[in-house]
Amino acid sequence: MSTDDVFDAAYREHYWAVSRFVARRLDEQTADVEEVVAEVFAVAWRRRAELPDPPLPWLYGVARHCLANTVRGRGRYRRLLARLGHHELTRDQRTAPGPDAERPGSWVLEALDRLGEADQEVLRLTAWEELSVDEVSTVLGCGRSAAAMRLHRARRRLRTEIDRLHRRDSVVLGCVSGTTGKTASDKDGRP
Amino acid sequence: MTDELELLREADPVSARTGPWRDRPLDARAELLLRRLHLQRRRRTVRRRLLAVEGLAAATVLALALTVSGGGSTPAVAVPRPLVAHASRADVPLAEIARRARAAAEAAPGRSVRGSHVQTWSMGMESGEGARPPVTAPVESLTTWNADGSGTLLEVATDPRYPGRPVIDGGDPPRTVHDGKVMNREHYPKGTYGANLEYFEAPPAGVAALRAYLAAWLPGAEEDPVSLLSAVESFQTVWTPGPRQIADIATLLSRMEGMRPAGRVTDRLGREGQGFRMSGSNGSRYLVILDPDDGRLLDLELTATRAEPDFRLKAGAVMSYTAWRG
Repeated sequence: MSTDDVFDAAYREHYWAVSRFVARRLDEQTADVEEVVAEVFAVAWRRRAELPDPPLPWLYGVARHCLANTVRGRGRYRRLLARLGHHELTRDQRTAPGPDAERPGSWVLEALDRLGEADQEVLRLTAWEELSVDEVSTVLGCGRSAAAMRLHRARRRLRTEIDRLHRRDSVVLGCVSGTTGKTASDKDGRP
Repeated sequence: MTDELELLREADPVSARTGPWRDRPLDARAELLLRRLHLQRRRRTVRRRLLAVEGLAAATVLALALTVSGGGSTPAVAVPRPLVAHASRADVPLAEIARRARAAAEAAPGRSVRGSHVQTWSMGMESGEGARPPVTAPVESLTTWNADGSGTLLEVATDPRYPGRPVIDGGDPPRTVHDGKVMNREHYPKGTYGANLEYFEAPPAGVAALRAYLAAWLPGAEEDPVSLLSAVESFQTVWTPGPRQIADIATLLSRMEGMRPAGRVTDRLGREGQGFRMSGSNGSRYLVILDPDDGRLLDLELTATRAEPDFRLKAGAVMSYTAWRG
């Protein structure tokens, strides 16, 4: 297969995966996602001779750079759009009400948001993009052992935040509602 | 205790099985992008795309450098006031307009035509310390294109409300230019689809099919009325709809949640239409103007409903206005 054919095959196979990668990091804002994805593949096309096998982690790496440029370049415009609420339908999807919400998994995003960006990224790559440690190291441009260590630390910090949220919400529910929360005294049957 | 990575997987905000980014064969947009990569063509500008998709027109930040040209001529720089609708007993309900549009389409079916003829007023803003007031650039655009992807684009700075007067162009920084100055003239060779960045396939007939077609380029349009309105606006910068598509769009609008009758409106080209309002999103509002006889979408006006001091945007300011002349 020629270089162009290899690129075409990678494009067809991974277009939606790259779109999801970008959407997750732009709060799904459709127009922006499409712009960035177009840029990712434009860059990949120019560098198609470097396309590795498998190509997806490399494409994610390209996407990270494009996203960084996009966020820098559109700061003011995006702030305006956000103020005007043109993306309100998707913008608020990350707001998580708490551990007892209808979607049990969604509140973990709040815990994720409390971590540093580097921790968040290695966790997203592992959980959402389902990359192996080797692949994560390709995306982040670091060694395998460094990627493994980052992931280990990030998981630990995420667990800490999750536990902290659990404790906070238990306290809040116990004090405010008085009926739905389970406090220590509830469990003991005491008032 | 549940594994934290498993919890995170469950909270994935973007699904591979449902939604606009789900796994599936490439859609028309993705196929077009691939074709363009092979042609090594880049999209012309972000600005044009934003105009089409977001309905905010030139909300890109512009530096303000108004220099009134000499000769005592007053440039047509005023930000347009929002159009005023007058309710009356002669108002035609949206459902009736849609019915008339369908009747017109049955009586004289015809195809949509590639290309559009549009007059826009687009507001540019800047923010931060020392931000200067927004400016509004009036532009008349004529787009033609062919099935082989060739086409032309002509953009002229003009404000039909003030014929002969200088106008502000949409440049960076904005300048005062004479009425009718050609701002942009492009010729696109076949295969490039330069004149139409989207909706290059012919629109289908039928309300559901048209909605799906519109949503192919703006996935939110399947559910969200504001996105649907943006998609219609975008579509009508690429195609001049025929009677079937006019009727389908009128029907879509008539089924749209949140459309409220506003009354009769005389638009900025002097045409009389029937106006309907719809809340855009936080802080904005649309005025949709239809021809009450055949259901054609004549105008779309987007107005700020609250001030944004950072951008020196006042409540009631017209952020974008599009009038279809075709």
